[in-house]
Amino acid sequence: MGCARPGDGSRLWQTPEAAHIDLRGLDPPEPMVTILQMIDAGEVEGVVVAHFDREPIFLYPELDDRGWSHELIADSCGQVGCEADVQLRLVRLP
Amino acid sequence: MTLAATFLVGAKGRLLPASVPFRFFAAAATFHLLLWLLLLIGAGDAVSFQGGTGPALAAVHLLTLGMLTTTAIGASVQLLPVATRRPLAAAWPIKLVFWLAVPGLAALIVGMYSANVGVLIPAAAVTTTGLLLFAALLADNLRRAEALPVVAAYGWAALGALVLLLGLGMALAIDYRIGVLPDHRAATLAHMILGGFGLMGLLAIGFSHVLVPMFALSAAPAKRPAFVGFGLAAAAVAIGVAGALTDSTELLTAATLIGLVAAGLHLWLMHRVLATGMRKRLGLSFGLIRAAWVMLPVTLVLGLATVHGLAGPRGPTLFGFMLIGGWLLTFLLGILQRILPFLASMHVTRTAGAAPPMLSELAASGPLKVHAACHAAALAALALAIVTDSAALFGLGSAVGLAGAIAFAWFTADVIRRLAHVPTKWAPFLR
Repeated sequence: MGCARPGDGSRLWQTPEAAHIDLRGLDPPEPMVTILQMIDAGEVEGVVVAHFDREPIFLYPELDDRGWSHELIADSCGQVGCEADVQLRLVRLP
Repeated sequence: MTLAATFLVGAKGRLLPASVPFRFFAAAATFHLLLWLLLLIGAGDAVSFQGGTGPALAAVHLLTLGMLTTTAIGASVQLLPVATRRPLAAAWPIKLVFWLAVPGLAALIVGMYSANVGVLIPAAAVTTTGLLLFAALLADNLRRAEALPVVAAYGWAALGALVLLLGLGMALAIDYRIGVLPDHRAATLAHMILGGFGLMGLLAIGFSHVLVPMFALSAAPAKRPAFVGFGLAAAAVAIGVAGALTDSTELLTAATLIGLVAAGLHLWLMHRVLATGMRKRLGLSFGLIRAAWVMLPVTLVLGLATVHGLAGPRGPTLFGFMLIGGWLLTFLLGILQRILPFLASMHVTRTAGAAPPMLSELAASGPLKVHAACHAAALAALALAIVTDSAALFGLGSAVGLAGAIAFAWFTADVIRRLAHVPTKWAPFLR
């Protein structure tokens, strides 16, 4: 599952497995607020992989309230720049 | 460690064992209880307190060092490494901070209460050593931090205030035995400004720039006005300390006016954060936080009146009470009741795919309602008691405050108890 943004530098990209959103480089609480705004606006559905600089502990109860599951996942991209990143797999619950 | 394992460690790799920060919160809850008990016992002394050893001085330090500072230590050693993505070196230095600062503070309280300088001075030395160690650990973390520049600026300024505060505190203690200070009263006022507005005030405002947006699901304040606010706040503290030490009405006036501008800017930024936040219903904790925000400019106006002799003979007492009780304690309790369950949830092991415990499973709300009501009533009673010089009303208010503190201690203990019963990687009390 790739962790690098597309060449155009956009923070949102799609892979066969999931929609990816890159929230790295943003100071708290912007990563949390950004992902919640996208969820509330219906801009993301199904499976989303969110990339963070730090584990978003304050995000978890908000995802629970909105009916989204979340789990930390390992990254397999093998790129040096991913070493300190946290990836969260979000799935909208039925 | 493989790349995958590095990813899975995440924030937990930067966490200390749960017992390390939570021992500070348990100590804070205990000191909170003792504070109100001491105010109840020493109501006759506390209602007109303006300095000097005895129950009131002990109560003030139970609040400032016991409650406020230990809470700040517990929260910062847990939150800062996660926020800055820089782990603290190890757990043992923080444990050493605890075993120096907390017993040292307990002895300091005994020394102040009983006016025993033979206990006061060594206790001050032990407490100072523990807090200086904390300052060094925090400085090391801030030095390596790359994120949150506004919070870091406030953190550095607060640390500077802490070092000066501790130095003055030692000098004040020694001055009771041998006269090392030219003006004990001036040094006391400077010590209070450094503690209330310097250390705790700057930490409270600094952390507000990330915590309030987080709770309100809003963007953080824009950096430029935030840094302007920081500059004004830091200048106000520095000028205020200079004014206190030189007994300068002009400098104290300037500090207060600059502080009012800084406070106004901060409150405007917080208002914007709440107005643009995704969450509008913020609950009981923000009732306390909003009340504290009102107390901040009220305290400064009262300080200005006191400097110019317009607040009457009880002005200095009321000013000190509003500063540490009305503003700082109220703000801290509002933040703490919101954040303790989150801090507990950070230590819960989550296996892949398993849901974390709901926050409602980690905290009960009943005690918090009792606490908030008692806290508000107690503050109102004590303020009125100070104005009317009524020891009886002060004692009654302290009893109500004690009931509230018992409720808050129940809440804290309940969080720890529930944490101990949820599957965790470390058993908190085995370390």
